[in-house]
Amino acid sequence: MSALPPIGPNPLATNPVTTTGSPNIALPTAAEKPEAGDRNLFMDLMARANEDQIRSEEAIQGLVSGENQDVQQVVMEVVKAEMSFQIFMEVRNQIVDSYNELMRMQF
Amino acid sequence: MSGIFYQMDLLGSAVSASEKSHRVVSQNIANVNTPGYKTKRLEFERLLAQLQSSDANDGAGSGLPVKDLEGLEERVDGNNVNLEKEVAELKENALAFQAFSHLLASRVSTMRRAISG
Repeated sequence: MSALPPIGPNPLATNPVTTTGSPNIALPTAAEKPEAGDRNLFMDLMARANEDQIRSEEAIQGLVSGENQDVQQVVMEVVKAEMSFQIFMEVRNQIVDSYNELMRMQF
Repeated sequence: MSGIFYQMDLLGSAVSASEKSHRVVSQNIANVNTPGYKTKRLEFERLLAQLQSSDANDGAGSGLPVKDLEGLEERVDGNNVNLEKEVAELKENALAFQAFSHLLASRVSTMRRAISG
């Protein structure tokens, strides 16, 4: 529940955590609205987490090989990467949960 | 820059290299009163390259790339260990070791989370 608010403010202003079923439906429609066509919020989040991961790996590489002496900066990169990965995982779990909830629905 | 264990291997090599460096500095401190002893330093980069190139065979056989440190004032007995300098080096090295091991731990935990979902 705590991981969804971060994506709420920037791209879409809807409140996604009202019911468990709504985010799954809200995400694609909201992504299609800005006429970008292939924009996918979840994919964006994944790409950003991946980017952070790569940046942290580069920072570690720099520290170990001695090009970079700034330990604090490296630690910041690693913590950021870890956190964005955690957010990504949490969002994914929420989406899977809501999908399951949707599948259990009966009319 | 490939393989899922690349980063872990790299950090593992760094941790073991700083441990070796700790050994060398400790040896300097232990020999602070040995006549004729010259201060030694580990060549970190070379050891790291050595560790990375021979990950399979543990790389201990080829010996540590150690060189004598130049430009130190020599005492009458031929010993040139500067205790303060060595202790500072030891501290710095301990800090590096700590940083590397923390980074390694966080990387491992991230990978674990990625695996188990």
